[in-house]
Amino acid sequence: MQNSEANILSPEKWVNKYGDYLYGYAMSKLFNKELAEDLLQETFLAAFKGKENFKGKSNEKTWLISILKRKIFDYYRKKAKNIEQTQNYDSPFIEDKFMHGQWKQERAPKQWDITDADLSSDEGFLNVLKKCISFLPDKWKSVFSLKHIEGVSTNEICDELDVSESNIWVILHRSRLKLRECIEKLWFK
Amino acid sequence: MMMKMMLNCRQASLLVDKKEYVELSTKEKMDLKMHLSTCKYCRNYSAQSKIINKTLIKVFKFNELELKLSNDQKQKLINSIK
Repeated sequence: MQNSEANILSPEKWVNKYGDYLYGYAMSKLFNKELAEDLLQETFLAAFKGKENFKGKSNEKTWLISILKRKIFDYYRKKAKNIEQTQNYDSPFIEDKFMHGQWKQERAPKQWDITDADLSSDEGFLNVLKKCISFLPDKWKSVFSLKHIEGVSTNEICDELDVSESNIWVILHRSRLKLRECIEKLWFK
Repeated sequence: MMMKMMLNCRQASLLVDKKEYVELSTKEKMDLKMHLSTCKYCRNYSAQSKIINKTLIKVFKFNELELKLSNDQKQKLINSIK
């Protein structure tokens, strides 16, 4: 019964029924319209090709979202191979013998002027953070995004991206240092 | 000697970030507390890290009813699957 229902679903019906839901999910992990559209297209294509295998084991929505999640993971994994940009890491810390590990004066965290009660609810601030994430080097962006996607474990990131756990910490740390500076520049200027 | 035992800012800020993901060991907590008590910049960093984390949760959160595909986007998708 479930099976025959899946077979008669047309592309129109699928897109109309699940399109918004999948698009919303993709956007919350990618923040990029074109990219979300591309992965949605790939998801529907893969689902359409594989609909014989579906056999109504889970509900259709769950099945489609699991394909989309896989596509998002694949996207970030491919991105993570792009390492050129991270080779010239510009540390905000002094690395000479005497001041070793101290903040460089001009790049040290300033006191943020926070008069509003809750910045995290400010739509503008949210968008600044999204923008700053998009500026991260590809490899960092991949590790950072996957780490903040619900249900993705650190082990999974290590395995799939071929990064050691201690390296994950370094990447997360450097990403956050960069985000901090980016926010200071764009929001608290 | 004392200086050697204390964290520098790079090490302290790494612990600040690590704390957002995992529980620190007792020693790490003590070292960090000590550093923060003497370093204004790292205190700023710590306060900012909390704000960033709170916002990150919202950034990656999936809100089901928030977004809709436009009719053009839908048509494009349908055409590409056919």
